[in-house]
Amino acid sequence: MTGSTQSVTLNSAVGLLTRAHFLEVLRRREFYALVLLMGLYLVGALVIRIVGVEDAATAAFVLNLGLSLSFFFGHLMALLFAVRAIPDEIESRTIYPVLAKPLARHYFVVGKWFAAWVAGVFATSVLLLMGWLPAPHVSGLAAGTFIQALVLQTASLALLSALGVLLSVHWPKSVNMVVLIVLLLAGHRIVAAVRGQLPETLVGKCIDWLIRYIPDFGILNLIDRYTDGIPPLGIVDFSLRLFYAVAVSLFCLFWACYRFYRRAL
Amino acid sequence: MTQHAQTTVPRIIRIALCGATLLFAFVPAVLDFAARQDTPAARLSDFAAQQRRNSSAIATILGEFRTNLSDMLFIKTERYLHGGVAYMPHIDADELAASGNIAHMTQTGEKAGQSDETTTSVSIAANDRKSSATAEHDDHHEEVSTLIRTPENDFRGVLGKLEREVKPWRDPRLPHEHIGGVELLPWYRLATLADPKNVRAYMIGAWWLKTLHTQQALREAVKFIEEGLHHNKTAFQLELMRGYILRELGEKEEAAKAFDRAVELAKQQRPAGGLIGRNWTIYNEEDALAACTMSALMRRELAANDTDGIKAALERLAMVKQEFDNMPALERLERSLRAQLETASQK
Amino acid sequence: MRAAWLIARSVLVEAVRRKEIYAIVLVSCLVIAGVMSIDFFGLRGLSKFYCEVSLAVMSTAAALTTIVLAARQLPREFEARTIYPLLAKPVSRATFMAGKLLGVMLAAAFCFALFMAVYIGGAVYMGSHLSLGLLLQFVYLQLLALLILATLAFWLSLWLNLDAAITLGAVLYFAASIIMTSVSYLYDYVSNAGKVVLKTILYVVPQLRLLDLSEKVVHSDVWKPLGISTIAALTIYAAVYATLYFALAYLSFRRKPL
Repeated sequence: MTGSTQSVTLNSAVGLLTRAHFLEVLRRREFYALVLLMGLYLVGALVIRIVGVEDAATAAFVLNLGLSLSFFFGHLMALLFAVRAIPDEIESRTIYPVLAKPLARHYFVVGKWFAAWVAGVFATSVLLLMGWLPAPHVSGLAAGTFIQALVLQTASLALLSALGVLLSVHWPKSVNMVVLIVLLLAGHRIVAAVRGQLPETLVGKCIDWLIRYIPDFGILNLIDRYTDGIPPLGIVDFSLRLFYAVAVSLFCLFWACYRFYRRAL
Repeated sequence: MTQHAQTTVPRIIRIALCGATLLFAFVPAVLDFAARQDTPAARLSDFAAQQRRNSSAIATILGEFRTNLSDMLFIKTERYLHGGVAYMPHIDADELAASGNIAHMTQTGEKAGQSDETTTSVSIAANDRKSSATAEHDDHHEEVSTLIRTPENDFRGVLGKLEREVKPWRDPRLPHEHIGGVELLPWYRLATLADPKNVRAYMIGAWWLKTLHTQQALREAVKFIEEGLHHNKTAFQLELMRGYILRELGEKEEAAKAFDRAVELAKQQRPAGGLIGRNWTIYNEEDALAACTMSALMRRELAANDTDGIKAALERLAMVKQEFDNMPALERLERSLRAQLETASQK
Repeated sequence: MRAAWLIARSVLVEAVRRKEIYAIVLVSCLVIAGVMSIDFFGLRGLSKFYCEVSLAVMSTAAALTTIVLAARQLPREFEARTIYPLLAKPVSRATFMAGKLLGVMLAAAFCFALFMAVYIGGAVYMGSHLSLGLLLQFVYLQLLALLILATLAFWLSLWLNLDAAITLGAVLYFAASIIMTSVSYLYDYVSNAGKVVLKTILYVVPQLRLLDLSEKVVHSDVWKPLGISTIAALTIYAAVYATLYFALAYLSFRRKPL
């Protein structure tokens, strides 16, 4: 890339790409489909209010369901955008006029990642209102845990978006989507299951160490912790989890930039 | 449109990637630390709350859909034990985890037809000896309603009739049988693989394996429990279950050691006076009592003759009593053993 | 009739040629194989788990395939403008739609047949109790459910855009059981007006739960196949909804400007 590319600053490039992408979020039908799905929960939660909530455990169960669904759908939104962002541009050949402008390729990648993240955060915010407001009141919940859950879920969206963008540079869309959904829904459990089966040998320990490089969205999910009324994480524990999300996101993002430069378009 | 060939990676991206890789290298250590700090989820360990939420209206409406594998297992256990018939959740899963006894809760959450007396160490020890045949055909006659309406109570006409035909349904007034518990084993295996902290899944899984009464199944049960202990080093219930299984395998000395370890672990966790609370439930207290009882009774089984055995059991009981205050059932056991000792001495 | 058959054949050939069905079957089989590769204490004959997981994965995959396949049939014809030469021939719109529906159902049946071959092979290998009667009834009822979903997707795809049609079809499929249970559960708690609303929902929304025999297949050691009268009633039930949705789709199609 020539020096002229620097005439477009990172801020303006990312800003423009994000804005274009964000408008697409509103135009795209997936968002409304997700709202529709969340609407099912909304109806259910309102019905439960009519019937009456029997006890605190049930109220916590409804709240857990609402929060889990809204965070999951928010992640799904980020995933759909991250996975399709680059391949769709290449497929429709709209990437060429964009790259013909003095725009560094890494600006393009960072812009796409940021747009997917913002789309995820936006969708989560809307869905969270739908998941949280109609849920019955649960006493004894720690507000601190909820704030930590929100922060970590936001970080989790950034991680998922970065991973989606990275994998989209390497794999076809459908494969990427399946892999990420599996990682998101069951990755934590699958990794735990595999780790549990490893022998206590040196080889086993090495494999155990390597397996932990597989992105784990489970440790960024504090919803159960919140609805169980467990106090917030310690500051060190929380910071480390945040560090985890940032470290993996940055690695995925810069790796995606690197690979995108090495790729012939 | 021009095709873009691969281009040189800018220096800034190379440096950033190196820095990010360096950070990424520490990820396993971070995960390790987080795993050590993590509080065991109360949602999974609070069995009573699990029972309540899975019997609630929304749980009934959701059927088998759950966001949590542990809750799903709860529903599966209910369904499999009744040949697929969807009754309102009523099986006391804690009792199942503690002793393998398929006890029932009424729909208000109380144990059906049980007094405090029936959940003493004696009943737990008796449960251990209970044959699987009895457990698997444990007919009971209290009426538990089904999720699908009965014909008299159904407003849906032909649709209701079709649902009762298509879905497994049985008149709730008829006594229902417990079948196919062993078929639940893969679900328990899956649950422990997904969440190695799920102590109860290890307990119930091992218990079902034990009901098969074959050497291979018992060995697998020991292996399963040991895997659970590897992940839950302080779970005294697992040591207790290990003791029961080893005893059935005829490895009485090893069983005695397991019961002793269960006593040691329980001692460390039991609050003063065995005060029941969020972290020490009635089931923990019952398991601790069972561990104490079995630890004493195993001395009797290991002795050369019955008189020496009772003396050894009494000796062990005296030690245990000092460490577990406010456990009246141990007093009763002591009185019973003393009476037996007297009878044996008179002979 | 011949025209409908030719259209159906082209739909089937295309579905088979695109290899999507094979990919779906392969992915589903990999999921099942992955779960079954876990060592369940070295015990043989624990087949209910296999049956439950397999039937759930297979039914869901077949239903989603059918919804996607059916929903994109008509919009794609408009998009690619291939509908014009077709309708220029002496083929009525009803015949055209019937041919499309037949093709989708043949593709769904082909997909389900592949699944069942895999399922039966696995069940025999696991040494599980197979009730042939129940299994055949399960397949038949599933096909009836797929017929309802296909006609619904046809109608939705003419009324909404493709993504929304697929989403709504999938929502109905996944929420089918919850809808019926909710109506049944809530009935006692609502006012008389509410009772009328619930009854209306019960009859307006097709209760796909009634066409799912998988629980009895899983616990086939306890349950016997359904009686002929029940199967006949279920066939009529499914036929009513399929006809209704097909008629609605036909009306939308007829009104659609070309």
